[in-house]
Parts: sequence; structure tokens; C-alpha cells
Amino acid sequence: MKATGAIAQHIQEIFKCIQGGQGWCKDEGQVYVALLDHWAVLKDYELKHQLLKNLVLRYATIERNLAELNSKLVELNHLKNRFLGFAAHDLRNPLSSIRGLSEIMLTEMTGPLTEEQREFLSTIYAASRDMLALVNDLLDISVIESGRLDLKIQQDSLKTLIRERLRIFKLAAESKGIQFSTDFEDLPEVPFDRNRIAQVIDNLVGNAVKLAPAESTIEVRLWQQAGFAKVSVQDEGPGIAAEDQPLIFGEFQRIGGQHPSGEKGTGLGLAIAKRIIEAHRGYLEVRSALGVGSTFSFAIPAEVEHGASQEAQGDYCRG
Amino acid sequence: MAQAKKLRVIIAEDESHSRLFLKAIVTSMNCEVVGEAGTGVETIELYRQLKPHILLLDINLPNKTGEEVLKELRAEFPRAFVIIVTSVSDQETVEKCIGLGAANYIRKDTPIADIKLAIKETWDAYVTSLRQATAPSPSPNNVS
Repeated sequence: MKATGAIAQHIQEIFKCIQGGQGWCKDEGQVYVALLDHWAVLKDYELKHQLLKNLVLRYATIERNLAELNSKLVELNHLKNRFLGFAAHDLRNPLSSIRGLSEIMLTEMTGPLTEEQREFLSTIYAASRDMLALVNDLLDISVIESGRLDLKIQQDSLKTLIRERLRIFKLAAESKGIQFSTDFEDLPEVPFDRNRIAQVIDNLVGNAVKLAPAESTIEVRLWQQAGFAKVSVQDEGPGIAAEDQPLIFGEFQRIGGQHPSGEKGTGLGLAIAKRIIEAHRGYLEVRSALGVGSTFSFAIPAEVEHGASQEAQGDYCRG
Repeated sequence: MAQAKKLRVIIAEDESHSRLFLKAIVTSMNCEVVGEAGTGVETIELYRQLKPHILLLDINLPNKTGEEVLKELRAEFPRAFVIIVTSVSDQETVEKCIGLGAANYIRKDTPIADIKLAIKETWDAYVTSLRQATAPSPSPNNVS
């Protein structure tokens, strides 16, 4: 038995859509379901052949379109990363000079300043410092996204590194009456990229210092668990709402909106930190409650994986 | 007491604003900028002519890269004290330069206090190592 007139008409329309390179036709899904039912009941082999042929053609067209679209997207993403890389590189040097020279003038090394000159220079300094941070983060994102994040993995002491980074934040913390409380287990050296993990620690500690209320305590812990070296930074800041927590590791997300100090973040720091930790085959997570505070923790493997092939070892060193 | 003799520095950097920035930093450290170069070839010529205590050498110089300049200078002046000036993306080249004998590197985007500390500590370590290797001590004074 042949397909009924209505169904045959639908099939013709679907073929027109395929030949015209158009998207999925209106009601096409339902037509297939009706055709399958029709074939199952009436054993219309001609219709079955037509249906299968149609579906094969359909999938081939969709696959080809997707492959073309995917290829275009990959190319666009590559171009975006190259643009970001060039732009960031060419912006960073002049910004470094603007920030540095305004900092030198603010120290009055070049002569005394009036109040007004100090105010103007402070604005130039702060704006160029923030722009430099943004440019550096954009450059990091472009490097990570283009797969050019080469980790220099070496056995090193996480405890020494954390102590070193906390010293850098000591002044900023003390200016808000914030204390660091530390609890470090005696861990053997673990494999990691010192500069990149320092960047992650700086991000977590820096965020905690910015968001923690005055006269509060930031607790930093280091311990080993289930083959991972773990580091956590706990603050008594405003906390992050449960619905926002999955979003904060995305690009251009700012924790808790504006920092209480008025200082702006780039909204890229946690996204970069997460990718750095994942490139180490670890993970970065947050536990937080509004009005209570946040604990950001990262874990990296305490040992290079045994039995890993040379290729896998190489891959381990790549983002 | 006589004023300590200033350390003589050459700054090799193709971007004028970066040269100005580095000059402001080193002149605040009991150093005198005796020469400024904007290209690799110019840097080598100026170094031969002025023989400074310190060369601040940008990696990305035109006509001869910082790496090439460093290689030539260290071959001709094995004790040349060179600090590489860089941006973050040049990390691989920086490591090569350290392997070629650069004393240290500084990143232009780091805070001034860190740049000054890096220069001072590297210079002090260099002077100490020279004093240990040769007696009596070498002439240069410590940077402040």
C-alpha cells in the first residue's frame, strides 16, 4: 500500500527542505512518527525505503552543516584569541609605564606634589593598575583558550609558596585589621607549576582580603587527602548565594558584585584559576553561605601519575 | 665620608616610555644611566664603548634580539652583568637568557618596589660572589 496523499505531500515538503538546505521543517518530527506508525501497521515497504532514504539524507545534511559551522566557530575563536593576545601584549607595555611613572611621581621622588596633583596622579595610577590587571587576565585567558598554557611542573613545597604569597598580602590585610590564621600540614614536595599556582593562591587570598570585613580572620589551610594536596582559603565575607555559586568560575563574573572597598576585579581571576588547577588535573571548588563567608579550595595531585606514558606526561604539562 | 661612587647603567629598550620608566627607577637607586639604546646593534656598540656595571636588556629589541645581544656580550665580556627586562609572555626566552648567563630578569608590569628589590638583590649577590672568587674585593658599590 502506498503512503496516503497527505503523508506523501509532507514527504515532498521535507525533500524540498533538504534540497534547499533549509533547517528542520515544520512538524517534520511528527511526520516521521506518523510514517513509522503507518509503515509498522501496513508494512508499506516503499514508504519504509523512502523514509530511511530521507532520514539518511537528513542526517548527512545536518552533519555537514554542523561540521561547517563548527569549523567556522573554531576559526573565529582562534582569531579572537590571537586578537586578544596581540592587543594585550601591545597594551601592557605602555600601561606598565603609565602605572609605574605615576607611582614614581606619587612617591614625590621627582618633586613635591600639590593636593590636586596627588589626586589626579592617584586616579591615573589606580586606573592604569586596574587596566593592567584586566589586560594580563585577558592575555591569560587567550593563552589558556588557545591551548598554549605550558605548565612548568616541578617538585616543590606548597607550604613555602603559600607562606611567601601570604607575606605579599600582609600589608593589605593589616590595613583592614584582618588576621591570617594558618594550619599547614607537613607535606612532602608535590608536582606543580610554581608561577601558576602562585597566581591561583594570589587570586583566592586577594579576593578574601578584598571581601572580608574589617577585623576579621582569613583561615588558610594546607593538607593532604586521598592522593591530593589541598589548599583552602576561608573568609568571613558576604558569602555567595547558592544560585550564583555555579556561575562564579565563568568569565567576567564578579563575586558578590562590587567589592566593599570599591576596588574592581576583572571578573576573570577565578575562571583563570579554575583552568590552571584543571590543567594540573586538580579541581577548584567553593562552599559558601550568604552572611557567613566563603571557602575556596583547590586540590592538585600529590604525585605524578604512575605508569603514565611519555605522551601522557607531556599532556600533563599542558593546559 | 666620601659619596659612594654611582653604579653605571645602560638601558637597552626600544620603547621610549619603558626607557623613561626604567631610568626613573635606576636613578632612584644610586645609579647613573650612562647610556640608552633602542636596538640590539646599538646596545652592543654602547656596551663596548661605556663598559657599564649593569645592563638592563629588553628581550624584544629590533635588528638583534636581547638573546643575541646577551650571547655576544657574554662571549666578549664574560663578567657582563645583565638583567633581562621582559613581559610575562616571554618566559621561555627568559629561561634561555638565564641559561646564557643573565643574572636575573625583571618584569615591566611588576610594582616598582619589586623591580628595585630584584635589581638590588641580584647586584648584591653578584658582588658577594665576585668578592668570594677574587680578593681584594671588586670596586663597585652596592646599590641602595
